[in-house]
Amino acid sequence: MVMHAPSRRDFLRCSLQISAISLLSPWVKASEPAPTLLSAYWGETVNGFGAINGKVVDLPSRGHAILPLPHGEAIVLSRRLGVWLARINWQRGELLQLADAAFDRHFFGHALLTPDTSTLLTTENNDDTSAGLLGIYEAHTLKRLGEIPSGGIGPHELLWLVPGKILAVANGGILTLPETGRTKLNRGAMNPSVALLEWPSGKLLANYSLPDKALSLRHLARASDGTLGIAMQAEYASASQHRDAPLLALLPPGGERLILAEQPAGLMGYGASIAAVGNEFLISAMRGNQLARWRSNGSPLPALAIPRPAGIASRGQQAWISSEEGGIYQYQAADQSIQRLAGYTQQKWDNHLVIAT
Amino acid sequence: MRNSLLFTALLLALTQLAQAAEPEFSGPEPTAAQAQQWLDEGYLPRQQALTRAAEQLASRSATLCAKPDEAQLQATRQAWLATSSAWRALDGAPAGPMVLARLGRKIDFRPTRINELETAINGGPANVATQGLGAAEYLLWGDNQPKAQLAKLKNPARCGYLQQISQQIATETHTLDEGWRIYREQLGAENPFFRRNMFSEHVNLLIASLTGLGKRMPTADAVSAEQFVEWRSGSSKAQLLAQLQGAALAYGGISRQLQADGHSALDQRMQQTLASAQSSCGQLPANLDKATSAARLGCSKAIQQARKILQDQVAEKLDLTLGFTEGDGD
Repeated sequence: MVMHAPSRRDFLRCSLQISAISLLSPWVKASEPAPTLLSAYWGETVNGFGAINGKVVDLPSRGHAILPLPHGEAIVLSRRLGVWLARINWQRGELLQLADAAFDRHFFGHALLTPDTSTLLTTENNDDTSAGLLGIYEAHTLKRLGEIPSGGIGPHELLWLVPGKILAVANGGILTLPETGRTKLNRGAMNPSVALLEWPSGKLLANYSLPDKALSLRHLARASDGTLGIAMQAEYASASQHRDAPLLALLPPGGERLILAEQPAGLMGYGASIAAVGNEFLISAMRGNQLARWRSNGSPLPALAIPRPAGIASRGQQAWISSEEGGIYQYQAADQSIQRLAGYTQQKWDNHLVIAT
Repeated sequence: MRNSLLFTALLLALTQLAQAAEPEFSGPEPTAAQAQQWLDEGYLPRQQALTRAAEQLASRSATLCAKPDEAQLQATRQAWLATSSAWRALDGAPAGPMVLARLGRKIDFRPTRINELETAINGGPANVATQGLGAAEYLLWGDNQPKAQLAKLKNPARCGYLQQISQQIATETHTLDEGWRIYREQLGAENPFFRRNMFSEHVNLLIASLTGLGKRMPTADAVSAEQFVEWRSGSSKAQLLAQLQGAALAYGGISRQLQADGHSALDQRMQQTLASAQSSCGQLPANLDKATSAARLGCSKAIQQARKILQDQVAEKLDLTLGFTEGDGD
């Protein structure tokens, strides 16, 4: 067994991978309020660090999703199969608290706050049974309060469909185990789904899946018209099948099944993240080096070239896109333009980007 | 066996897939003879070494409990070291039944949870964290108090617990004998499903193992002994080298395929990189926390280089679809 769950002390002492949070230079356009963007980053070298206007936040391993909090704070999730949950102050560059995963549990990289911000919900794995879970935490203390089933295997991102009442959970359907790390153990027998759960009871209200079980349902966003967009990552046995693999599934309001959006060719089957700008979905097609776009009815819009696009954060009719190659880009829906922004820290950004509260 | 339902379902699904219409696949398809040769040379000897060592550990533990003296304690510790090394060698390139049977979880759960273990020794509830090699290591060496353990093990309940978990390790390893036999049979069967998946599965798991191995070697300037997995027995270096040796042995089948496909230069580069990792890590002192950060970094980088070549070059040449790699962000 090679990937165990070290103690918090072990992690504080081991700098095994790069992982960090960085506040990006808050300059966009002189005429507009500047968003502060947060993202984890990573690298091949051994010491993790994060830059906040020159400051750094050390994290034990590669971080993934970020939940912005007021007063310069944020919660950071470790990347799957993660064993820590962190609260940081990105303004001061401080790691405020590090919570270990519960015994026989691993984090899957994403979390969500309840609308009153009192409770944190994390996607987790039961390492004994491999059933997907949502861990329930007191947001302020990161004290674990309990758990509910996620409705599938390998839960990844989760989103409120009805704030405080109904959750959508993307169960990626991929079986991974701590002892074999990130290796997918059920390729060819995956079972991805989008589960709708009643909160706080955890009652499974609906579970949607696609006929093609090799499409892992992983990331979620909601368009202005209420359509749920699900970004996918293809897991076909043959590499050639990934070239034109679908990236976007849709669940329209009141819809009874998932539908596949029309798929442009050559996007290479790996949607790193998804965001909505009005009634438009953006997906970072990292391996296809494109920012893929669709209307919320599933009709495609011309993709825009970005090298290795990673995280996407949207506000109003704009979006910001990080690149694994280090750049930060701004998308304007009005003229469908993309431009690389100057003055930003260069890092190998992880797949998620958020605007600070 | 609480997890049996999930894995039974998974195995059923795989069996159904094997019986269904042929799915599209990529990568080499070895002949039955080639597949079985790879298993016979690269995998089964490591499994057999583990079962032999585990039997010896169970036997030594029983003798120690019958006659708890220093000589028997040392013999039991040696048997533990041999078993742990054999396990690490097998885990250096997992495959076949051991993954879904979750052998690692059953016989080497980490981190060792001392409070729960002490509770279990005294008749409290047992779980996966209170059994296996980690628990046995604690009972034999303590927390950096090796000389205090003989007196403790003279307590029949404590020694009996050691005997019990040692026997459990032996039983768990033997449980897979049948699984390996069936896997070998499947590789030779008319249905090509398992042969077609062999390279993909074995290479992905070898990559996962090398990734995990690299993480066993902290590279910060200052480290403490407790950061190394088998710190209680002081055997982390030996365990690391055993894992590398296991990986190198399993690589044999990949080597043959690369050569057959005309990629001898790549094969040679991979073999040299594995040898370089063994050499670099082999030069570290036995107490890994006494090694300089540069030396630890050198060992870590050498391991990661082997992983990188396997992932970026070998898998590409063999046209294998990789699972999650370290570069995937999810």
